[in-house]
Amino acid sequence: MAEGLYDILGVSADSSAAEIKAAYRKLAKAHHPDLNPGNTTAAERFKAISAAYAIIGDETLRGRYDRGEIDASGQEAPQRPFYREHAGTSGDRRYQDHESFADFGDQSELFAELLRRARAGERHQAMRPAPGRDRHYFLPVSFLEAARGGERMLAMPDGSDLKVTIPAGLRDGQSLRLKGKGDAGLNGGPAGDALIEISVERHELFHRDGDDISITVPISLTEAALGAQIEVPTLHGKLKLTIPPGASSGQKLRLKNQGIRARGRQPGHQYVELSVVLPDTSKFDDEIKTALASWSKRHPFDARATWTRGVEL
Amino acid sequence: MKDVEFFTQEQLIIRISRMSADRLRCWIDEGFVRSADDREERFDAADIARLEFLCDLADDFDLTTEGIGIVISLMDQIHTLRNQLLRLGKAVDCQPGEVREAIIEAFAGSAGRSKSAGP
Repeated sequence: MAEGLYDILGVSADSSAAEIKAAYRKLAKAHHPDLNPGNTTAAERFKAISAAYAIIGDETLRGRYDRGEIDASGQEAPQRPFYREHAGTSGDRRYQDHESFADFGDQSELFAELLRRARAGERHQAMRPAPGRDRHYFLPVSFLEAARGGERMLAMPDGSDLKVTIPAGLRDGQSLRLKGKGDAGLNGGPAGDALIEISVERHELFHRDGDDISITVPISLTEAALGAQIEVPTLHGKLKLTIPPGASSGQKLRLKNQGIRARGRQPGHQYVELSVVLPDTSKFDDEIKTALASWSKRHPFDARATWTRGVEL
Repeated sequence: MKDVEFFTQEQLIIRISRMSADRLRCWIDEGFVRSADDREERFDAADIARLEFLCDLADDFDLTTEGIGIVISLMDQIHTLRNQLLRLGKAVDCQPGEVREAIIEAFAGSAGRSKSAGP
């Protein structure tokens, strides 16, 4: 036993564990090779310090050492690497930080040039796999395509066609993401995605509120008065609709589940708003005029009786 | 070039006695060590040495994760500067005698001079 372990750490044999740790820390700070990258003797010294601490810093081993069961060399510190040995090697490139002296470039032409090359080199060495970039597209679709769903072919810049499935109920401004249809990945990374922004065109008759569809259907005076069965268009084909006798303009009838049928959502409804349209009144002859006048006299009716009630004007 | 040996996270935990899965996860997330691949399963001998040092900072010096982050960042900056300075020195060594002399003369003479000082 050459130098005692307590001597190496500069503590007395009756020091407390806290004192030993404090002494070790102080010495380790001064001699740790990674905290003193330029000090060639640091490694030797630190090895001795940490070997000593490995024994007398450990309660059990310290007891055995004090009782003479193990000697100072009994517990060799295992061979361990220090980072400074790797600094400057190829493995260290990941951790190089050239930006920390970027300001040198302002003051020295030489450093400006070295920095420029270092940055270029970093770009060159960026061989890690990286995902490809996303590609953005804009696709206008008709109202009916968006409401019913369908398929579209999108011409790609490279001349190929991309099949785009449009789900029923797609909204204006929504984007579709086609995984892996963007730019190819770098160094084996995954391809980017194609992001397709959808713009939905308007329809002349159909209007949309969420998954509900509304449409205004003109009916004749006779159909309104006597009731009728008429045919109305829906997203899913023509349907018969029964108009009750005495219907008015503005009245709304519901065709249940005839709106947008989007996957995973309750189907919407179609609302049919009636709009009473008079026939060509220039063809009204004296017969009908007399009949209307005499009927109105017997059944007075103020169409605007309740119209403004409770409304501030 | 000789083959570089790579290690997975599991191998790092086995090799470095003071390493735990949680600790490694945290240090990878903090960017203290960086895998050469996206799956975070490709570390090398330099990373083992770094992790040993990080364990010293955490266990022997009781540094917090924030403290370790500051130390390792400064250490990386110092190593980069040391490398560059060393390469600069070697580059100067390769110059003709009078150029070397002139650089050493100018370098020694510039010590302590403020940067705004004229020639």
